[in-house]
Amino acid sequence: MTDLFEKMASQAGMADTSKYGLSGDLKKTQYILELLGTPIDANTLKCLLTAGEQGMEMNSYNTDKMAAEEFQAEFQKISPFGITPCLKEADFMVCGTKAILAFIDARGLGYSLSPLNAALVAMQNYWSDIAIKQFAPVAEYLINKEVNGTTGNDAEQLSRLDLYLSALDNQLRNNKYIVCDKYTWADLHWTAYIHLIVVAGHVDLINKHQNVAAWWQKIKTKKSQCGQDLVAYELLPNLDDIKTGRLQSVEIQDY
Amino acid sequence: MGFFSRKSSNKKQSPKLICKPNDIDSFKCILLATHRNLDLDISWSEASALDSNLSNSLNLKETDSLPIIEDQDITMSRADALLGYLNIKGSAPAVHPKKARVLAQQNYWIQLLDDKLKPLLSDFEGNKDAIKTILTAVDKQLSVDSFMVGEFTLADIHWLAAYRAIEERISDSLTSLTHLSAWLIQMQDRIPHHAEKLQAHAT
Repeated sequence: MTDLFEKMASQAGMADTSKYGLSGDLKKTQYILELLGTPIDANTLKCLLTAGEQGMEMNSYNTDKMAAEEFQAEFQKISPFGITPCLKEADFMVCGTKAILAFIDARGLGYSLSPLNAALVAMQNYWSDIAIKQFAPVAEYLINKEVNGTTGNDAEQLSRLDLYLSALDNQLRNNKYIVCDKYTWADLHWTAYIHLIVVAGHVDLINKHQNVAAWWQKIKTKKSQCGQDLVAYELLPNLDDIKTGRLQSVEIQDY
Repeated sequence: MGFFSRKSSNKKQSPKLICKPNDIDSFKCILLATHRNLDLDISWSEASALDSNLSNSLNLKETDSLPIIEDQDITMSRADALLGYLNIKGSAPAVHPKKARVLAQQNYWIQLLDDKLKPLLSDFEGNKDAIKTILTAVDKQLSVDSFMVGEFTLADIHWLAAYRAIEERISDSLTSLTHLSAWLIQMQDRIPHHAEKLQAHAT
């Protein structure tokens, strides 16, 4: 039976030749991961960042490229409760950001993004939660306004944005990264949302906060965690990619 | 006090866990701490003094910040932060699957609970069918293995917390969910006396 991943791979022209082993070349990553997501979705961006950080090859398919009716029928089979994005590795399939990030992190070539110290883990999860539950709606509002022309209360959204960025700026006063001097999940979550805000044309709001701006510059050039010659941030879509539905795949060249 | 603050103290005492009655996130923390044999001083509150500070700084809803842990020089809020902390503190092994696929499945079921089931509970009667659909999926999952994802994981702790918070309201449905019922009996052995701890606020 052909599943949604195979249909999307075929539609993207990535079926067969991109599958592990068919070329006869063995790579460090045993299987190429496959991701179903959309370039405007922060959770999809987090999957790209994690695959980049951990040096996992991943073919990415934009689900918006499939006709809505056909997609819904197929999607229901792999994610009955509508949880996105979805990931496949050989015969294994799973949906949801929490699941995918943990899976890639565990499978990948680099050190885990989670610290070992209990207090640092708590702080990492605290800042991740603020990003996911409080900051995400603001980022989504701004990118949807830019790309889809949706409207709402700009003043309220920008005020909330400033509130959270001020809190983050304060947190970054004494740390290289959000939690400590090491890159953690908290950085990855905030990267996805701040990227969408920048892409939506609001880089000035980021630069207004000195520590956030300095952190942002580091993130944009940081070499991946796994030691591959890769900057994970460069995998993220720009405004044109989002508008044209282009989602980058993760390819590792330097084995 | 900040939203994730430290204060100096030399006294060694059990960490304080401030919970909200019938709150799934509070129950998750108690269950994880109980399973890991962590000695916590549990108290119950509808809101805490810390909430108002949090509200001022980040415009959070007042009760969003419970549960809270105060452990010597550190105060923290938000369930994900507390669960991460409780899963490392102490000497008992952390609940953390070694296999990537099990870890992923564990997180899928946790996300299903947090993103799909929890929002339905604010209007339990109106969402009864949708809640039943999710519980039926859990029951089906438990027909394959004794635990949510094959081995005992955080998914079991999260779903046990959810079940305990809503059990009075789903007792009618439970008779048809035979695998879920069997799993509950097993969880009573796995985390003994947990029900008493969760109900302590009522006494």
